[in-house]
Amino acid sequence: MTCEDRVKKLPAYLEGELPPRESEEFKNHLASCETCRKTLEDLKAADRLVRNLGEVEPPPWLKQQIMTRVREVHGQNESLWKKFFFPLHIKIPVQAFAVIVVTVLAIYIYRLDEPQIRMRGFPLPPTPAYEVKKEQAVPETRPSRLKTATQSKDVAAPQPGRTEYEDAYTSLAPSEKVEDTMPTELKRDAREALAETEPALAEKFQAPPSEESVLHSAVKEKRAEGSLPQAIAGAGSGICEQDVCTAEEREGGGAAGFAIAKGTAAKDMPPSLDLLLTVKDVASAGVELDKYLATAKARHTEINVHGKQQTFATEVRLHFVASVLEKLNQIGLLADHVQPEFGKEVQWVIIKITIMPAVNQNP
Amino acid sequence: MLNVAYRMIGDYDEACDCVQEAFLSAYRGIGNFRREARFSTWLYAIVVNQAKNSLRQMKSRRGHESSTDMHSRHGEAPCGECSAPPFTESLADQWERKELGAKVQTCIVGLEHDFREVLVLKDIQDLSYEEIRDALHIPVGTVKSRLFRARLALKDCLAKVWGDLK
Repeated sequence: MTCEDRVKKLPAYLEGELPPRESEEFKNHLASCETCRKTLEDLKAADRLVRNLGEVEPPPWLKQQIMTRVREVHGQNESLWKKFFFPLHIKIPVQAFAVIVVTVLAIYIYRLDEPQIRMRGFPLPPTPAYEVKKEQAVPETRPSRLKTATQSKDVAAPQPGRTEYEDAYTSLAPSEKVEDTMPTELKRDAREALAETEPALAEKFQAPPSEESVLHSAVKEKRAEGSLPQAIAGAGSGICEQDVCTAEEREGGGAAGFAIAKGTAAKDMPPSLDLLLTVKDVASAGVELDKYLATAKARHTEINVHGKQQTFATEVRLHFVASVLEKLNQIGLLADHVQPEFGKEVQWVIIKITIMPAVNQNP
Repeated sequence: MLNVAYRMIGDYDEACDCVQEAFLSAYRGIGNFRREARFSTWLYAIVVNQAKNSLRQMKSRRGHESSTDMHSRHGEAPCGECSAPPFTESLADQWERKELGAKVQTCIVGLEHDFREVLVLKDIQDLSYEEIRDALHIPVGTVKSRLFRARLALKDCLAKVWGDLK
């Protein structure tokens, strides 16, 4: 190997990249060759010079200029995004947008919680006049319909267009007149009204299916067929002689009489009592009444707010009815009402209380 | 990064522009960064590529100028902003140091580009062979081969312009 060849390998020798044997050979050669030794020294000196080169200091404006240009590039990208999504360049300040969102949210929450706020008796802003009229129209009709449905004596009179069989159906024993002496249409109206105002109670009234509905469907069917007198003539039991028998009763020879079925229905359905209470402050009266009903262990209490009126529908035990009435007299002015005589078998009584403001009653 | 760009290009202003472009390229292509290598290595690769582009543009701009003019321009010291000397150093020493740096820089710029980038990254930036491999996407053996040839060429150049290197 000539010195020229060895010089080419000197950097590798300096870096320790040569194999040990070759490196040893280089070492021996350098000890004897002046030219190669000088080249090696020059290489080391050149390496020192390169490594001793100072660091180039950036100008003070370089960093700022780089950041400015980066922001420009970022702005170009952002403007493309904005052009795509906001082509009309409508600018809404963030504050205005936040105010709109908060307002809409507040109105929504207020609407959502309004009935609960009214029930708790918190002061509320006066309702607009047109809303008062609209809301008052509803409770005036609903309680009257319910009252008509429950106070059967007022509506038990024969109506034109009714058959004698239906009239016979309505003229049952007084103990059974709580509901069953009502005309069919009125009862249906009452149930519909009850279903609107008191779904829980309506469900209770509906189940189990009343025999009376079966009866009336049978009447309608027979009336359509024109064979109603024969069907009645075929009735077996004494109870069925007074009334129209159902198909099952006719077939079974009157094993299960309608009156018995009616009595079962009446047992399932507690008698009801409609009351009208006039107070100065409906909200506070409602809260007080709610508390009292809780202490009286009332069940199925439902409260509806109709404008300035509140309607309570609840079930209390018979021996609590008197105390409830007394409490109502303490809270406000209780209107005259018809208190039916409850039988001994009655345990629960449905009490429906409409609380009205005194101002509206006596403007 | 500016150090690499300046050692590669040899012109301070061009090196500053090169660094700006390199950072912008990095910002635009940040999504292409894979964590196979270090972020600094990725940046070095961008700066080296940008330096290549800058040199190409400079050549096209100064096509009418002679190569000696280019070399003399490259040999200029960076306005005293590089290698700031310590206050204890005398003016003569400062001048000698500045001149020495300019000569070394002239020789570095005079190297072939492939040799230059390896020499700058290894001997000036002190990167490892593996980092240079990742930055330049060449095998380690090639890195070593280029580096040894670059050192020899630099030694020859310095011996030519300086005389005795001792």
